[in-house]
Amino acid sequence: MLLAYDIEGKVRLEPPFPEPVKITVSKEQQGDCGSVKSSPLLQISPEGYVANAVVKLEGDFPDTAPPVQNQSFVLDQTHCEFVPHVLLIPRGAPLSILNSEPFLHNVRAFDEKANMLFNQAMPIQGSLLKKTFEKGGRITLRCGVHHWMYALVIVQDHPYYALTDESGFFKLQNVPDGNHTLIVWHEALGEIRQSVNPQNAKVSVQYSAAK
Amino acid sequence: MLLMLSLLLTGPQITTGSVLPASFLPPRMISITARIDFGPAHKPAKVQKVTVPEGASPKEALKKIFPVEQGSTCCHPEEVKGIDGISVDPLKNRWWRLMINGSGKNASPHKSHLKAGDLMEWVYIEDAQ
Repeated sequence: MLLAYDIEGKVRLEPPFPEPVKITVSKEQQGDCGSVKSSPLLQISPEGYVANAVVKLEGDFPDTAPPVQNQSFVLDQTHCEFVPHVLLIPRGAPLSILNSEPFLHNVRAFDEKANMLFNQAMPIQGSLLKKTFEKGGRITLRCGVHHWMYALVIVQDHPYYALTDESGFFKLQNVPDGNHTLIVWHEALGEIRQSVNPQNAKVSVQYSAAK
Repeated sequence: MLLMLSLLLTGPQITTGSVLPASFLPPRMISITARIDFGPAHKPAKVQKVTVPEGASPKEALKKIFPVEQGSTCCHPEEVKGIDGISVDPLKNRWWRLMINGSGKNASPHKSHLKAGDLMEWVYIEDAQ
C-alpha cells in the first residue's frame, strides 16, 4: 500500500510591505471601468500573508487526471478585471472565458515565451470562449482593450499544485511519501524552492521584503 | 495570320529614348533618424541616422541597426516582438511601441512607408497593471 500525505502551509512576505498599486483609467474608458483600478499584482493581508502564490512539487509524477464532469473552470471578465486573477487548471481541461460586460473585451493569450496562442474579440455580453491547453505551464491572458486587465492560467501537468488563498494558506493533497522539492512562485515576488518531506507536513515559506 | 495582322496594325512596341519605367530604376535612398529606447530593460538608448530605400518600412529600417525578432504580439505574424534580444513580456505588460515623427497613430512596423527626414522611434514601454 502506498503512503500518501497532505502538505499544508502558509506563504508570507516580510515587512515593509509595498503600497498597493492604483491604476488611473483613461478618460475614454472611465465610463465603462471607473476612474481608478486596483492592481491584482500583489495581494497581501495586513499580516503579510500572500494570496495567489502558485505552490507545486517538482518531480515526475503521474499526469493530472481529466477533471470530473461537474468541475468547471471559468474566467470571467467583470468590472474590467479578469476574475479570478490566477486560476489553476489541469492540462487538457476546458477553460470557459466569459464576458459579463456589455462592452468589448479582447482576450489575448501568451505562453511563457511570449508566443501568442490566440486573440479573440468578445464584444457581446454573455459570450463564452472555450479553450483547452495541452501543455503544462503558465499562460498570461491580457485584454487588448483595457491594458491593465490580465490573468494567469496555470496549467497543471501533475496533481500536486495549489494556490494560496487570501490568508496565504495552501494545501497539497495525497502527496506520495519521499523527499520532494516544493516550488513557490509569485508573479511579483519570484520563486522560492525548499525541500519538504510529507511526513513533516507543515510548511512555512517566507519571502524577504519586496524590492 | 491573326498575329501578323495584329503586329501590322499596332506596330512594334519599342520605347524610344532612355526613360525606363520607375520599377526598373534603383530605389532612391533616403536618410532617416532612428531612436531605440529600451526603457525598463535598462539598456542604453541608441540614436543614429539610417539610410534606407525610400518607402522602406520601419521594420526594414530597424533591421539595419539591430537584430529583430518577428512574431505576433497582437494582430500580424510579422510584428516586431523583440529588438536586440529584448522581447515583449506579456506578464510584465512590456511591449515595443513604434512612433513616427512623434506619433503612434497609424504607425505600422510593416505597412508604413518612411520618407526622407522621418524620425522613427521604437520605445519599450511598461504599461501599468
